[in-house]
Amino acid sequence: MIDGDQRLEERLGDLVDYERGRVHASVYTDPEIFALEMKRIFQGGWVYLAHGSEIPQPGDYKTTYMGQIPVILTRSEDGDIHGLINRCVHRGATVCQRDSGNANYLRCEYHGWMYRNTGELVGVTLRSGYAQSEIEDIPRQLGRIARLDTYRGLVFGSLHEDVIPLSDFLGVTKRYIDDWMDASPTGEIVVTGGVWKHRYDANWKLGLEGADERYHVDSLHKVTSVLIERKTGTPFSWRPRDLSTLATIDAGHGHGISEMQSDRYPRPWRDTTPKEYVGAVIDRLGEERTDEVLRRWARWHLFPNAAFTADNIRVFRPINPHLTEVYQHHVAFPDVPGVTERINEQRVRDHRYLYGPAGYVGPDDHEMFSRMQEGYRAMGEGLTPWVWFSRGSASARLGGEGELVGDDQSELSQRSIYGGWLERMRTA
Amino acid sequence: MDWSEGQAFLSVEARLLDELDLESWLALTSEDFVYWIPVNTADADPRVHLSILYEDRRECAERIYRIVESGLNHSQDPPSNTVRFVSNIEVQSDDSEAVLRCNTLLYEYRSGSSRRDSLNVNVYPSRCEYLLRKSADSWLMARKKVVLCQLDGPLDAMTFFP
Repeated sequence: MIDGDQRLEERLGDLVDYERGRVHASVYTDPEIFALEMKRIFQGGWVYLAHGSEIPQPGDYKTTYMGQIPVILTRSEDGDIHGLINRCVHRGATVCQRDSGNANYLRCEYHGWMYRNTGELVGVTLRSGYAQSEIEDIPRQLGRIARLDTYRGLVFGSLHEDVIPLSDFLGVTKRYIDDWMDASPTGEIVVTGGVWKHRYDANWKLGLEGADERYHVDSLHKVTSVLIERKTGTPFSWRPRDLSTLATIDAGHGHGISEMQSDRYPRPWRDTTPKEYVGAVIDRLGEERTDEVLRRWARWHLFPNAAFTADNIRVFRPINPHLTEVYQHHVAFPDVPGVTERINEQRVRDHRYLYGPAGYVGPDDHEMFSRMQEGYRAMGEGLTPWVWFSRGSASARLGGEGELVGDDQSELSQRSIYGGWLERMRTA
Repeated sequence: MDWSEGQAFLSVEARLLDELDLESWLALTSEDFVYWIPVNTADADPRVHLSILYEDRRECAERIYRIVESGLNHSQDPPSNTVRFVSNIEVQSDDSEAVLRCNTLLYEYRSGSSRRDSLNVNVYPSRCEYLLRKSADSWLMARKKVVLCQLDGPLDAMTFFP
């Protein structure tokens, strides 16, 4: 007897042709595919959860999702982070309602069952009214995220025990995470300066695709260069003459990166960056490494649910095939008096200007996602169902750590998603 | 400024925004005008915390350019219609300054196929606070703060002039 998952599994290679960079539109619309994604992708491997600075103190917690599964991250007295399923073992209500807070005990408000923030069940209301046989099969502990690990404060979890080490999963993206963190005068970031919460009317994968694509920037986001031209009186393009410092990368396991070096812009980074901040980075890293870190400007996504760039982390939550929620967290540097005031204000300004509901970039991206989702409904006899990510694949070259590198406007960093997608969807 | 003058000012402001007569709206602002729409929480310091809008007069003028002239405001193609209702008005004033508090109910409707699954109507109730300053013989906005009911989101695009 062949079940539905197996039937679908046999079709995966027809739906996604990674080599040609061709994806069938039903991958974005089909409820059965969505259900298998939730199982194999969001429950079958590493998922980004949080940054440690969101729960800095003992008792702090935050709630989030792994696909559609509500989870809680807590920090216990000993400073450890715990990953719990947000579901009372008794009748299934969530035990934690807020995005974040501080509580040493989590109480299900329905019947009053009480848990320590490590997940241990410590109180059953009117316990003596239960016969032993009535309660002995009920777990004494909130469900746990099977694996939890961190890289430079970024917390990842897997609901499946048997996964590759996080370090191997992140692979070449660790280099970009390192540079990003090292741009901080302390080598650390804080993720507490606010969150944009959006929903866009399209599939979760479109948010990942858009996060580090360069091909659309000069067309869709032309208003940003027009406004610069209006101010400076000279023509401006986000695509510089010297393209040698730009790259788009398929980093494996579904991750993608686009990278550029900011020297090409009208004013080099040293002119536009507060000097006291640059000085503090040089004190920590030295001239050479500082130049490397502050000149490079990268955006990348970590499959399946997070995207990163200078001043923000986006976390994607699939709600159904046609609806996705995004939490876009502001990323600042820890306060260092006399060093970080101006750079942190600049980061808030830049982030607000580009993203957020009234921003100059983010809302236009979301608009395109919903237009694409609408286009994906155009499936039927004689109609083309294909979505293409072929650009730059013929000229891709192999990088030093097995990554695939293309020119500045290739679609390798989008196609990467479907490499990772096949990898996880084929692992039962 | 007495109560009825305050009410008249707010009604005119709402009409100019709804009619997209944004240059006339800008003429109601002072040189040091700041328009603030906080996000997540009403009173976090906007210099270090995100805001939906925290813009000075020049930035508002840029936003008007994007909406009215640029032809590049893609998430407003087609553009929204808006209707604002202003109520619960309170006026505190002396000869040179006035603080207006009111509630505003903003309806935004955007046609088009891309959001077919929804009714395309967004409702934004808010509590607003204005600081007005007397300039020559008219009142100008020096500060406008809009605290949305749903400021902690999730929020749809607000790339019309909010």
